Amino acid sequence: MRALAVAGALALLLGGCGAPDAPLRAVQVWARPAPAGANGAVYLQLENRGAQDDRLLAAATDLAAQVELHRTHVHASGAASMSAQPAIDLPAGRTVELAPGGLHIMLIDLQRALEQGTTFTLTLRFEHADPLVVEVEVEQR
Amino acid sequence: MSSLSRLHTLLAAAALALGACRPAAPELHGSPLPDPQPAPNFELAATDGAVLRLSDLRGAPVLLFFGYRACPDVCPATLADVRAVFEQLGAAADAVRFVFITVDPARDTPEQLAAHLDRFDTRFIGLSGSEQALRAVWEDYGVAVIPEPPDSGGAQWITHTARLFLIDGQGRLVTTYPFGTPRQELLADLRALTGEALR
Repeated sequence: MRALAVAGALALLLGGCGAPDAPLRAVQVWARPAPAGANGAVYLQLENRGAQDDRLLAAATDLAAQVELHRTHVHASGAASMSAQPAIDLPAGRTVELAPGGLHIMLIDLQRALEQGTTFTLTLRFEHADPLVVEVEVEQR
Repeated sequence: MSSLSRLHTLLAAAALALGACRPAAPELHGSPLPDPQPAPNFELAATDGAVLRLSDLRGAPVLLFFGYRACPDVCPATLADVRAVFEQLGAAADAVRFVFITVDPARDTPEQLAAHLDRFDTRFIGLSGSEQALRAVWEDYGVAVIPEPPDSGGAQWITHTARLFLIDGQGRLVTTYPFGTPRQELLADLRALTGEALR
């Protein structure tokens, strides 16, 4: 845990969202405010500026009892369903958007509230690239 | 001007003159119903402890959504949309009602719903009830509610219709909006309906 915190602080010093030469960059990382005990969702854009395809395999934060990668499907009928994703593909040279009503990082059973105007850190793990510690802004959008 | 284009001009003028004789129904976004009918009435437990009937809200446009508190993505996204639209409506938002009916009666009591909705806008009304009472309302509105088996971590999600329903001041269901409808479209329609109600 301490190593993670140190890594987080280091990543923040380096610019928060990946070193300049890192192939993967996370931008516009945010989550809505939510009370403790509720579920939350993190949205972001993941840029793969490298030459190699990669995959987001997992995300971690001690703020939630459980973190999963999810996709919402809105069907033609108007019904919305969700399914856990084993990974999210990040093709080389592309930006993948995790946005409301689509892909998102699900925070299940928040251990404390996500308060408007605060931030928290989330660690993203990839198939190839080094883990990325990102700062999530809590705001109502 | 050719005789054909003169004819067109005449026809256009005639159409305008005829149109002016009766108030044009506002052109609504989403999927407007061609022949709006009274929205199915319901009677459910409100977040303030009282019983609320849809018919009690007659006179105010009503935006209606079906969702649940543990829903982490489409429900908060829709609540945030309506919250933003209310903000932009300003004082006119007081003439509009937003009603959120749970699809998760086992986990959403009126009190819990109230706390949840208050985080978005304290004017939002949450309704819950027995599964039997709710099921009748879901069916009346064609709302699918499909509890999914618990996922690997034990979380319980519910597949549900994520449309917004718009009911006018006369209690007629006038249009429905798919998830992700631009806020500007909701805003324009509510402005049209509240403007109409004020006339």
